[in-house]
Amino acid sequence: MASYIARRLIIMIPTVLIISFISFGIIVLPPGDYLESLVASLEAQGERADQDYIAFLRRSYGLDQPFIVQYWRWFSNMFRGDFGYSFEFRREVSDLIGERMLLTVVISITTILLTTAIAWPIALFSATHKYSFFDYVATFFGFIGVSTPSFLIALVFMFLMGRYFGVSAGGLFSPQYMDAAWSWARVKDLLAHLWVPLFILATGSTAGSIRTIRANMLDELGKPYVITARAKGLTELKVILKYPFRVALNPFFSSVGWMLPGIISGSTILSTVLSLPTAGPLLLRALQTQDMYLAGSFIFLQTILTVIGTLLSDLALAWSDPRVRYGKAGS
Amino acid sequence: MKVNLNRRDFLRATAMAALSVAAASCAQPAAEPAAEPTTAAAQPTTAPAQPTAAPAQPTAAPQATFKEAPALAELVKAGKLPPVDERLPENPFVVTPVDGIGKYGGELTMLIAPASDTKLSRVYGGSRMVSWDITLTQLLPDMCEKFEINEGRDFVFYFRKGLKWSDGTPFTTEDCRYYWEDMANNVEISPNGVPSWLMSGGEAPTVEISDAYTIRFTWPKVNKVFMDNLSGSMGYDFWKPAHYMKQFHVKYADKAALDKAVKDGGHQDWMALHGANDRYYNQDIPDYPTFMPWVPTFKPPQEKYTFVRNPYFYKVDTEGNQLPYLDNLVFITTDVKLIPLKCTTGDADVQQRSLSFSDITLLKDNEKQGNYETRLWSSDWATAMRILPNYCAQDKVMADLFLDKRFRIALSLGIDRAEMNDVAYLGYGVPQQIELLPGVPGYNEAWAQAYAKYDPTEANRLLDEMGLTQRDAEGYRLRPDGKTLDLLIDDAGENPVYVDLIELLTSTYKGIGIKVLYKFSDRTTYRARMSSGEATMGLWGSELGLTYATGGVIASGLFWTEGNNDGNNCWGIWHATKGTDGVEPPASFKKAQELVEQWKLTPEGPESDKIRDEIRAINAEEVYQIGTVGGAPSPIVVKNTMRNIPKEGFALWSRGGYVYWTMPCQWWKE
Repeated sequence: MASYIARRLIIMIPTVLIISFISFGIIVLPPGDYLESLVASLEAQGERADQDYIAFLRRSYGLDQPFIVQYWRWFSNMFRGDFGYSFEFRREVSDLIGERMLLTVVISITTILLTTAIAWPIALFSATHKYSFFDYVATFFGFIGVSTPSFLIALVFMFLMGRYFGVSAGGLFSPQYMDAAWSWARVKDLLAHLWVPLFILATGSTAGSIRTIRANMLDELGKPYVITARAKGLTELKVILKYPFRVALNPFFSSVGWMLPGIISGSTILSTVLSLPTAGPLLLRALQTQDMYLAGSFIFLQTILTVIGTLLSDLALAWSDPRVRYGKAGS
Repeated sequence: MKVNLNRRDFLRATAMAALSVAAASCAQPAAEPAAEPTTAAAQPTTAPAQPTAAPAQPTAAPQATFKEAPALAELVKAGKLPPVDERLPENPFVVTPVDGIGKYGGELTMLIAPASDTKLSRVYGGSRMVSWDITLTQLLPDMCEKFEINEGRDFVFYFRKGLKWSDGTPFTTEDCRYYWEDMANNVEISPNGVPSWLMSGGEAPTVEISDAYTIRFTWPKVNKVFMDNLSGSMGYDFWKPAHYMKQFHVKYADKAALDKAVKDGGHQDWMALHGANDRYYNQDIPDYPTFMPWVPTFKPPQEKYTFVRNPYFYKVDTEGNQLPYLDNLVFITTDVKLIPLKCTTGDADVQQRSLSFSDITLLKDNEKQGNYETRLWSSDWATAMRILPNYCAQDKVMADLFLDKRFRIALSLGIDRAEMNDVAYLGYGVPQQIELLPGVPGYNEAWAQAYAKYDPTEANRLLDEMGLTQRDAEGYRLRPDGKTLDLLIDDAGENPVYVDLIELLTSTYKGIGIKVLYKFSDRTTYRARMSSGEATMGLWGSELGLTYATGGVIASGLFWTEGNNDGNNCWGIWHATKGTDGVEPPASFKKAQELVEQWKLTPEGPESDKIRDEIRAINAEEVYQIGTVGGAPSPIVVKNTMRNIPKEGFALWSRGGYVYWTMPCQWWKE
């Protein structure tokens, strides 16, 4: 097992290198650069951009250098903790990402926990009471949740709130707490706003989880080992939880790795719609304006989280499913 | 339609009155006392917003001592701030409030989309060297006490003695010298020479600083855009806070400290550091000295940007209260598409940015719930959508057709502008060509309505006369090469109303046997396709309706003399490169280009207007660009608690910065 982990860790290094190179390349790939998008956005607002000034910026941002030079400058500095400079915000990328991370992680992790807490019991109940009234209700809402993009739910929600309650939904803080220092009142204010994005995010992912786990459970429930377990006189709860449920969780464990990068970009569009001060909108903005060091650093972080997440999910799978564990040991 | 008429009358009256003042004293900056009663008396009923005097009278306030906001008074008491009399210049700018003297306190909340919109605090804040009066027709000395213009090429500014930056440092010509010598003429900061906004006819000005409060700019030839540049929404500045910027300049800063700052900030060299800290325009560095009524307190990006009262702001009301009335200016970020929705729930105290005509119904419906009023301010659009044949289209058959005047006239006659106005602008607009709006001095109905009446019979006759008589199975005409006559119209995708307009165009053009294909993209793609000739037609707005009556940079918008942002480039480039690049335009277009050059070199006045009118005549006769509907108003949301904001007015970017002409420093909140 230890050598397996070590091998995986070593393979991660070239993977990360290659992905960082490709992703940086893709960010730079569209025609134009940050300054051209800057000029376009200035002109869209009726402003004129001074070409001399743009030329000055291009030189001072090093955008006149070849791709490889730009990449290397960014990449080599990264190991010294310097993620480069955000053109748009004129600040260190690491500061920008750091500021946004706390709330981003809070939202993502709470969503995952909430999803799990809601989805697992419902899925279990649905599967064991197949075609019951409750199952139909769960299925009905599940399909709505799966098929409606979360940003659309957010828009509808905001419209309803505005139309019928005159309340403006969105954001994580009331205006008076937006730029205040952390305090108990600010935390309370956060909690008062947090349920909206959580509710919307959880709707989509809960529905997905319910459908997957339910389908797996149904596959497993009819298998002979379940009948054997029942025949041995185990309580129904124990039968379900000890055997088929563990198998049904396999897809959950194999996809848990994706949740890590999802922490950053999982809810980008929703966060943009709800104006959440999380990482997603910043990443989106950076990609739109070709603020390449900011975008590149985000993607690099995501890459690392993805490879780590994949490793973790493989380990979790091996831990939860003996078949996987022994299969691996044998190979 | 009643509102509309009132607005026109208001425009006409105010513009006329101001023009007479301008004519009487071109170079006389002090507002003529005689002129203001005329302005007010002309329209006492239809223009409730019209103040009884011009907003600014650079005369001393009646009080010997000035009053200040309570918060500042406490700081003075505590010894943390000098008394208000010492903070204000000797001769402060006196603002006549729109409705009456206000009360101190409160926050002004507005919504913005991208973080870069923090610059709106500057756009709205005013504080230009010179600014426009409330009619947007007359220049007033603003940061300066007075100014002189000689022969349209020699400009002298006399600063207000004792005017201070927001950190209390006096503003003097040293700040201008720093900009001119250490930035504009520094080869490292400006490797391409003096910034282009200061260049006129390819030449830099001579700058003469005679004392700490007087500066003179002289160009060899007329400079028609200098004052517009200084007073416009972007408000170009020929000064920088020298005492602040010197810490980033290699000539003044301590070498070791500078190197460290360059390295710590992740900059390439000191010029980059200097540039990154030069945020006069963007207003997003907390310590950056400024003259705005509110100064920034944050580092971007944030959800909420708070600007606080500038204790050294140089404007007072007529009772000697130092402005601004409002304590803070707050910008809250949200997605651009949600701004109208958020207005309906009362999230903004005042909002103009990112609201468009198509939001009016939504805004009006929710006024009660959001406790606000939707006001309609005049826009500057001579035409909200002009149709641009691409004379450099790769499709040579189409390019040749466009060169035939009959074809252009047929395209213009085939548009039902009245229907467009009714459907897309609820009848608030003016169906016309690219011309001045009715009521603006110099308006000429014959030009505005040239080929502007919907006449499919005549259009069909012209097209038949051109020999385009063959039709395909669907009834569309065939081009000379036998293909269906279709117009591929590219849209930069920035004005949602265009979609409706094009739908109407498609149906009326079908009646004259022309098929419309519509391609919706973004600005970059649009421009690339237009200039490469892939697009056969383009769409662009035209902000000429008010401003080019009195000058400005606009005349070149009708007849391009260089590469242009509407993407129609080849004729302009041909002119700019003296025929070495681009495509040679037809004779009448060349004549117009010459006239534009001539106009640029003629000082404002009857002579200049005569040339302008010759250009307009060619425009009306030749229809090189086709106008649709102009003058549609633009909505502005104003909370019912807000005071001193005119009911009627202008929402223009090019002059007046949407709201800066109303002087937000004298707004207040009940």
